[in-house]
Amino acid sequence: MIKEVIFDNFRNLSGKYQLDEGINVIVGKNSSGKTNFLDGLKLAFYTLVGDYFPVSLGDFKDSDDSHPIIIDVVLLEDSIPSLISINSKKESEWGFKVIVKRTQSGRYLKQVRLLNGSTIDIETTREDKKLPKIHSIPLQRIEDILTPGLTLGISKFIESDVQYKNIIRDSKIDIKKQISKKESEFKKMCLMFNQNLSIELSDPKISNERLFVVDGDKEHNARIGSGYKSIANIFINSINDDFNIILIDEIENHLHPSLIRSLIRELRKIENIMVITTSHSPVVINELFLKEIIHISGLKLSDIHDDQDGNIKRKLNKFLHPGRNELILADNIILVEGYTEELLIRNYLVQNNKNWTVVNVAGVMFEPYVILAAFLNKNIVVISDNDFALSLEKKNSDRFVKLEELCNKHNIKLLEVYNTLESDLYKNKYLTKEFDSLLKKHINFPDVSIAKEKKKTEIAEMLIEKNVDLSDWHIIKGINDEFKSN
Amino acid sequence: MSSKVIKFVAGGGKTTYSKKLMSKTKNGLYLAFTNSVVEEMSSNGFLSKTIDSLFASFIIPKFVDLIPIINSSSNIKYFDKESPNDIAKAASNISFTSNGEIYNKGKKIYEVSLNSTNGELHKLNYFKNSRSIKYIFDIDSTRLTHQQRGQISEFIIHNYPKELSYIMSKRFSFIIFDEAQDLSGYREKFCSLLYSSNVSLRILGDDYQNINNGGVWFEKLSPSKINNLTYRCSDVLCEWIRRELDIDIQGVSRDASVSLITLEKVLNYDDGKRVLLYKSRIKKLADTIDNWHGRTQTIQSAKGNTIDSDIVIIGDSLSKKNMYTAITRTTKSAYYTIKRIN
Repeated sequence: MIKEVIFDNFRNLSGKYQLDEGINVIVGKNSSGKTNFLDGLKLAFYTLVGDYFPVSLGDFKDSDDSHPIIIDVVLLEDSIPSLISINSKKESEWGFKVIVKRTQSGRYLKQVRLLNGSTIDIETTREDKKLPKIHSIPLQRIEDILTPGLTLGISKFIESDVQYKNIIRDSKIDIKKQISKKESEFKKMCLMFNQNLSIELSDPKISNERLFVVDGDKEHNARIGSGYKSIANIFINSINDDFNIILIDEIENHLHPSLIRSLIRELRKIENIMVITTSHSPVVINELFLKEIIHISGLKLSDIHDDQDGNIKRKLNKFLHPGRNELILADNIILVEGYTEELLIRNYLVQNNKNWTVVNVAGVMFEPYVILAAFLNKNIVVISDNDFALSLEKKNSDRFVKLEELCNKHNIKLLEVYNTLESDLYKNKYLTKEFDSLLKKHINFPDVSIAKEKKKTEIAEMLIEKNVDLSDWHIIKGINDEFKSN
Repeated sequence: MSSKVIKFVAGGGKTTYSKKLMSKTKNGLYLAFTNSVVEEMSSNGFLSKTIDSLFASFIIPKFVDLIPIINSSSNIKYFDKESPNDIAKAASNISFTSNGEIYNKGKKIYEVSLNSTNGELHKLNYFKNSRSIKYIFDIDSTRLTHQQRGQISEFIIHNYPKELSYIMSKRFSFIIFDEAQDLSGYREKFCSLLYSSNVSLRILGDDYQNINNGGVWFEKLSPSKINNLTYRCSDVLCEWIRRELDIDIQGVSRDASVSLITLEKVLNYDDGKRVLLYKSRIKKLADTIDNWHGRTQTIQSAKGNTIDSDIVIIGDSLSKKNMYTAITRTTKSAYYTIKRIN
């Protein structure tokens, strides 16, 4: 459905975002504009279909309404045929733009146009059966989805009580009718989650509570966790013949990890939907393919520069598990190669209240993560053993040399560990006599200490237990230098 | 759905057929000949337009990048030569050819064409008729007479037939052309273009109700179905039509009469309910029309309508097609003053 969105002057967003069919997850830091992205889409589509979306001064960039807000929505071919225009090369373009201007009287005027800037035939467009339905989750109230036009303040506009009661009664009947159509399909979907849920049909409620999903025994809906309510919300909105665009703010809300995973997999199976959601959850990202992840800066992860054999994307698609994908969500990232480094640095950052994120790439697979971090313009430090003791000439290992080249190329700071972590700590006199039983001399280089077999983790744990202060260790100093006050 | 041509007699259920089709199949479009029919269809919830309004609101905006003299962000408006504004009066003399050339009263304007950009036009200094052309293709408005809109439409049909058919076929699962016997000029070209494309059409019409000088193309089409049974008119009326007008039409069994009356006595037939029909308001008829208490209508505007009371058709002579169109409006009786039918 949506191929591209281009924001101009809308809140803190500007520039182009490419979307994919199916699931799209917007990631980024807090207050980076993820929810604005969803609101921008809502503004665009609500204006197109004639629903109300309030605009105020704060929706203009820097609260300056002297220039209009313009949101271009480029659609895939064969999406909404009323919105075709023919460009000067005689090619068809699909999409629309919404322009919000301040009028002389100080009101905000919303215009909807074709991509060529020309007027849209509103009647033909709104009668277009391919016009999608837009659902926003969390929803405000059930009547927003089920009885269009009924708004919260309706009682204020209706003079007689009888009239008001009649509207409420008719709305309930209407809601009931619409829900009963969905009941059996809804049950089927819930069973995929081993949940015997049903929809309450006895007395639909019009209130700020919006979903009346109940257990199979039709008890009060308080028995259902809000997680299942979220899922129910999503599904209840996608059971129809139309194309549905579902906007979900923080898909992980109220859902435990395995439920999120099932939800994402099930959503992929529904054909007539496009899901656009924001997320802070490493579990969500782990479940996704690169093409489904969009950074709020506008970068699409699948646009990352791959190597000749396609290894970078392949590895990221396979190995971006929850620990590692924090790299996408966080800033001030420290890439380490093993568990001991992770333990020590994590301990330091907790003790010292640092806003750092340690990402353990496990082993020596730095490359895809370095490239990903560089692609996303992240603040990042890489910590790696130089492993010189592996060669007889005390030469840095080939792997380290290559990593150094990669970091230099992307202008990323690499902190060099003297041979291995414990060699470095020993050399810098952090491993006192108590550690002797855990260490041995290197066969070729007696001046280099290394951990005895399987004792590496124990060394790190002992350092933590004994509260050894690592503030002056060159690795910690290097990180502090790079991230400054954070 | 492939295209079909169906010829109906007046009151032959064209509207019922169209409504049925529109409610059965999604994404259809009903193209009517008059605004009153558009209103009737729209009030039933069906997407309906005249061909003129379809071009104005749906088609021309999609092609503005290919008609660069129209500024893409301008609003398209309409004006006519009755406008008191001198520039508007002069602008109404401007015309466009399907090749994009611009003429003023038959004289070609060489400085610009439909393919000039709006920016270029407004950069040019004075040339003959430049004020009129700049008025039509202003920066924030495009102002067209209905005739000029027709010419721009023809320009699109002539130059971008493939793109036009593509747009229509993508958006509409089928298109009904009603009163197809009245199609002429660019509207006829539009219909025949779509007929030869993959857009599914229902071309509905009645050869004998062609009273607007169109229909040449339509009359040559061989129909896939002819419906000569009218649900509107009594068999008494139909018998009169078969005898006097030689048109094959069958009616329903219902009491009615057809009577010739004199123009002088017409007002005696005015009971407040009877509807007076005439072709045009000529001097001789003006008094009668003005003094009539019931409804009065031209034959042309009544076309497509059903009148549920007696009708009185006035005038000296009428063409066969006008007479047929007029008399088939009523479900009841007809009175007429027409002495010559030709």
